[in-house]
Amino acid sequence: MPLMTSLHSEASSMEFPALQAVSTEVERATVDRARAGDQQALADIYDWYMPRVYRYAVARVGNTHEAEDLTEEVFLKLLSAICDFKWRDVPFSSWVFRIAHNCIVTHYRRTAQRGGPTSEIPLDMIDGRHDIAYAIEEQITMEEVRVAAAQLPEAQREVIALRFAVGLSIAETAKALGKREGNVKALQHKAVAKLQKMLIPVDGK
Amino acid sequence: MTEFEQRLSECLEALVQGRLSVDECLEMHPQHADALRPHLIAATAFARTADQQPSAEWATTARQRFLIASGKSLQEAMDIEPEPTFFASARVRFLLAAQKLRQERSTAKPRRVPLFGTPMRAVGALAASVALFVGFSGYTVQSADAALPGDWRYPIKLQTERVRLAVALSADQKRDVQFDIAEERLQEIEALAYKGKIIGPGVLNRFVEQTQPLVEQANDGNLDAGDAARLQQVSIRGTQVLDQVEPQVAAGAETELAQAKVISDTGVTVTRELVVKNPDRPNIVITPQIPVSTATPEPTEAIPTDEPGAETPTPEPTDVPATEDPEATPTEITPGEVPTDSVVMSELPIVEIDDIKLHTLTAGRLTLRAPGPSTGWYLDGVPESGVPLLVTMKTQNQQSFIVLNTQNGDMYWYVSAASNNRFDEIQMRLTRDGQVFQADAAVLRYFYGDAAEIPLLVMNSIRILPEASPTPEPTATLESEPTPPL
Repeated sequence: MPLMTSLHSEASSMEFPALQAVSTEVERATVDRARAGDQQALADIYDWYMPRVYRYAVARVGNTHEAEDLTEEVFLKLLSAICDFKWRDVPFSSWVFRIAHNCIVTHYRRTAQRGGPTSEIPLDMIDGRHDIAYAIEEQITMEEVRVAAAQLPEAQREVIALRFAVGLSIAETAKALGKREGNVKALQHKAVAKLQKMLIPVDGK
Repeated sequence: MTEFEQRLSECLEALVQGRLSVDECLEMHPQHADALRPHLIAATAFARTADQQPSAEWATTARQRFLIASGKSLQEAMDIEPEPTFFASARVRFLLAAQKLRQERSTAKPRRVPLFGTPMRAVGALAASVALFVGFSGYTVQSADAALPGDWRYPIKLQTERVRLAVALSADQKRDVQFDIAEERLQEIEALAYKGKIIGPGVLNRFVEQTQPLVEQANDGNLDAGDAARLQQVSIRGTQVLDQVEPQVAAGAETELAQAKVISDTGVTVTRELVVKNPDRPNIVITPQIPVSTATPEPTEAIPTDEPGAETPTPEPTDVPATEDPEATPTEITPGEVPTDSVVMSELPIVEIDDIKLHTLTAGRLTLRAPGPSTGWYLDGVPESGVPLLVTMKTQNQQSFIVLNTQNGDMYWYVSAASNNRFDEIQMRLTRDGQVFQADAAVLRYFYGDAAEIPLLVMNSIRILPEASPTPEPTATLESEPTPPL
């Protein structure tokens, strides 16, 4: 699997995508203002969470157009429900991604009813920083990853999407999915183990 | 958890938090590096598949839509009705809503606050909010409200409607919003047609999508009387609008038009049952508003008859009743009809309209066509001689009464629609300020269906005959000079 080898060979420079971090105190104050009807606070929440929700949607549906629609849907639902958000239940991030999770579930149900095709990331959506050769290579690699991830059980895919695409902690992921932290960790390990088996041959290390 | 799993867990956490790269993780755990490497690469590869940026165009418009929706949804969630002077500014609308929300929340959870603290905080919050929301475009929200399909702002309008539905707290509120949206779809269809535009695919579907769930709820008996009445209005208007715009419906949208018509017609039928037969509804009183073109003739303008000896007011019965156009209103008095000094009904029907046999009824100067025993009606309490002020006709089952004023031709119809001894009063024909008004046949048919047919036939046949000429003096008074007034 030469293409994965290229990915493998650049492992030393590989990092997780950077995500914008907001302190807990700032987030809490902002959410409280948003619950009281402060539109600027709502705008801040949108700006913080939109990229993460979008990544989560991409990780789950693999199609940027559908990811855009789903992201918008998530925020409209957030808007309608934020007045009911209570701090004592779950962290705000978990609450946001619980909404996102529900949107995805609904999306899959709709897609299944329509018999719609599975989607893929189009070539022209590749980050423009790369040259064409790299982009093609990257595209195929990403496609392989996507195909491999699609073969994971739903619960495992859900966990690694929230963990690796969104950057939620184990605790936040557990709250978002209504699972125990130990369960989330186990699902994460199983998912990663299966992914690496599918993507990286034993002799390719 | 094994030691390897522990190390893997730590490395994944460090990667997620952006503290370490894959290489750095491997350097930290050289004894597990070979085993960790493929796991960490797989996890990183997966993270990178999701590391996509939305298109700049979408990011801009989606954010704008979110901001607009946030202002609008909060405003509507709190049912704020701003002062007209503030109405032009969506920002101010939003601020008022936000302020009200704060007040409501403080009411819900009372806290001790300094006496002068609350208004000052409100003013301060208002001022701060004004400063914060400078970028918010009130114009876009306002103008999107009036956007029509094809307009760039129309998607914003649809989004805000979705938010309104989403923020509706109860089923009743949600239904109210659904009604608002259904009415809005109808207005859009009308507006498009008015502007001479072709109504393309999708436009009528949106109306169907909004109305169909309401009709289904009505059909399932889940609408209260108020909602049923509102759906009734929407459905009636829907049938009218769809008929009007039909010539402008695009070639590919005929199926949508047909569906929309079916939904509207079904809505009319279903809600009529709900509205009219609801035993809890208040009685309907319908007052006629349609002026009759030929007002009751004044006696002084009457054409004198040259048949002073006419003593048979009842016309000759015909063996085969004639048929007439049911909508036709008789405009001329049948020759030979003259006032009587008692209530007289022809023994046999003189006309048959849509299988309804009608007799001639004359009571003093009032003459009309009346249903008889063959259609289940009878005259109630009519004296053998003399003309009472009111004449009553009833159905055998006592569910329908027609009361006629023999002096001026006013007609009332009382009908028990719910079989619960409650009667609607329909003022079918009414004299007001010298002008005669009639009930709207379409309204009555809408409310009462076929039951309205006989009363309508009666109403349309009512005439007040000219007063009978006085019996001529045996002497040739015509030749004498008129007596000059004293």
